[in-house]
Amino acid sequence: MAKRVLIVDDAVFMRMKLRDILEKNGYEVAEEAENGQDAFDKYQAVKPDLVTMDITMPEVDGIEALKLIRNSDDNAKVVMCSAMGQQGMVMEAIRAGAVDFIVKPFDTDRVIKALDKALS
Amino acid sequence: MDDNSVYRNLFFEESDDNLQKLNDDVLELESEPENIDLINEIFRAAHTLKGMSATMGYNVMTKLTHKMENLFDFFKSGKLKVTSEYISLIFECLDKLSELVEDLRNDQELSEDQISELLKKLINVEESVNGTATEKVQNTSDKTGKLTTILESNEDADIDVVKKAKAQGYNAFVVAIRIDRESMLKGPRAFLIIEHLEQEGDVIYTEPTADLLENGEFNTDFKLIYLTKNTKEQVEANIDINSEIDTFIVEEFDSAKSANSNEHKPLAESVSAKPTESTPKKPKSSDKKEKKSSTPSKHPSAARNQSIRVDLTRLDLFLNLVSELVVYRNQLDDANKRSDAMEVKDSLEQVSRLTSELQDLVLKIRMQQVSVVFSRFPRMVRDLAKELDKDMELIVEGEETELDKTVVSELSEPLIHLLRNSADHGIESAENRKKFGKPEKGTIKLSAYQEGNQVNITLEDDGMGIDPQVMKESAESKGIDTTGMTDDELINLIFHPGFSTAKKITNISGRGVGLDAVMAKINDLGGSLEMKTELHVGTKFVIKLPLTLSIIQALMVRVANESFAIPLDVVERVVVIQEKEIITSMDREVVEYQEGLIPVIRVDKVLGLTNEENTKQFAIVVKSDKQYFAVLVNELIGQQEIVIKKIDTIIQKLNKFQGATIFGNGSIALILDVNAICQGKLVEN
Repeated sequence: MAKRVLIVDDAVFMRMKLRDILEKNGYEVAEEAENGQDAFDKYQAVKPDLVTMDITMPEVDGIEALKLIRNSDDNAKVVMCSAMGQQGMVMEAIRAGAVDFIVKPFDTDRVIKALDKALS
Repeated sequence: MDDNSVYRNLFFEESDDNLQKLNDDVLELESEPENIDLINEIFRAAHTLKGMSATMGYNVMTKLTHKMENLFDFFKSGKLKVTSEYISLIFECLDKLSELVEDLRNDQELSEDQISELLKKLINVEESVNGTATEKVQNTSDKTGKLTTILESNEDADIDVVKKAKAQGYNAFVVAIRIDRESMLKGPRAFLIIEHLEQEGDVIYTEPTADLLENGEFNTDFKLIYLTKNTKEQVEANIDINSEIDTFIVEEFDSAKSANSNEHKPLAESVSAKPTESTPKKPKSSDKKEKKSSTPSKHPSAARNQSIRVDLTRLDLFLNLVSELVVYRNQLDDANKRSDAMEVKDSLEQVSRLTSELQDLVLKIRMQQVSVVFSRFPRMVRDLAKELDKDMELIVEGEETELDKTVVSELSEPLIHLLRNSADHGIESAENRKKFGKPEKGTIKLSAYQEGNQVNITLEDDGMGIDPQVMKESAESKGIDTTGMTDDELINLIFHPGFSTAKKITNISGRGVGLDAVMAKINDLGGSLEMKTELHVGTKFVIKLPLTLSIIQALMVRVANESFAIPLDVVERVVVIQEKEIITSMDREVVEYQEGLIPVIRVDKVLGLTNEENTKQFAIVVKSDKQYFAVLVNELIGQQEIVIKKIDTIIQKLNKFQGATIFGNGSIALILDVNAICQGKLVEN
């Protein structure tokens, strides 16, 4: 069965891009969320197999959301999405339990490999 | 190959939003340089922009955003203080970015040359903060030897620890890992791998040191000593869950071998080297990206698609209304089959109610907030103030007022013109302001509000106003006869084509395009422009615009045997006149109106229609450019709401019709462009 993913990013553009990559590679996009709070709520609602989480978002950012989600579910698999120049935040995310991170611009192979590994 | 073209429109839309947001926030930052929340906001928007452009493969744009973002990073970490100089540099970047986005929209390829100058400036700033060492590490990253587990050096203390651990049943391994060469954020990558290992044991030594690793200051390889109760296979599995690893080796720790640091003996190949990807790499990704950036040229038409963002509740409502409409259509069908006249009538009533609701709604959907245009003005006024070395601020009110999208998008040009005028000619220098007892800081107020079926936009400055005497002198020097002109008339000369009061032409305004151009533009939009000015107090412009362009109230008239529509907003009143009341003076026909004489316009003659009825006529008194005209027609048909349809450009060139409309019975009537006809008549005379 296709693995279900929750995509979290504040830019519609990024969400579409990621959705496209995922759907072309046999993943199912369970839901999209546009900020951290939204991500947490939707995580509870759809219980996805994996979350892709943008780090910089307004209001509740990706790291806060990661913590919220991990608090509610020890087994939550969250892959962070970052861009160059966010070392510090990526480190913080890893400490907070992110399983992996992918770096923008998204390269289809890399994204899929990371997700496959995270779910194996 | 990724096809990003479908995302292009979205990319442009979100880029525009982010650039606007950056402009706004950076402007705010200038007045609140310590506001860390704001800096974070700015950083975030810049970051999003970078991520999007990188994803689209627009390398030039990505490069510039990246460098600009570094600046924000310095602000964030406090390495750099926000100064007005840096703000200006950032604005330069933002302008350049808008330019790049615009080029991309027009399918132009970007070149590095476009940004080289700005990059230089940004790098200078960076170097002043960091010293010259930035990003040096990456340049040396091309040597790719064989991955080995030979440690360069390690302390005796480590060997002791290993021995003790072994005694307690731990296994000790040396692990060598090579990360994908194209992997980005190597620091966090190494950190993540180590983090995973530490869940099952202890990493007691790394090469390079943990600090260097975390900062990503290594090429592709790193090594570590790892103590765990797991087996070699389990350790390998643990490392294998990580992505973006090129090769790795796990090997029993041999203290004898590593102690001898100079012996660079390559390790036997057999040791579980995982060839995830072979070492001689595929062509670098940059080649791929060059190709990407050229693809959009295949979609020239998509770029020109205009789009509008619509409030979702309005669309939902739209859907509801349409579904209701469908219900009544079916009822009509049904009633029609049964020839039930009563029910047909009932359903028709519903349908007509729904149609008007739909009409209203579609108009609302086309509405856009004036903030779309207004939002760039604070930045503009700031730049103007700098350039003119005057102190002034712009107050904006009623940004949420809505207008039809067509009007909103046409509005920016005239408003910019007026704003520049106010800043340049209106607001005085601080010195002069003091002399007149005004606050040193000048104020320009831009506000918008709805009033009935129209929207008023006012632009008011507390500057020097217009001096009728100066106007008089200026007019006379240009050979305009001003004898007998009242002060009001003198001031209104400012709308005279080609008239410019600026003593010298500055860079800001007065480039030969006068307020007459602004007036013409506003008139084109179906609006009007008025000016009030008081010497040494200020000048106020009032722009009145119709809420929408596509549906108007019109007076339907008949001339000879043809029906025409006259937009109701220009109609002052309608009077009955007899042919004998028309006075001919010096080739001009005039008629008495409100104790004055106003020009008569015979629509039949203007349009070349043969008209037999001559006795009684209706004179429709219209106001065009502050003057009354009597437009003669044969019959009034009535007042009606009409939908403006575009007409062929050839007919449009006649400059007599605004468009056409379709009547309920299917016949077509042309809409008279009263302004053009009246002004044309004036020129003729």
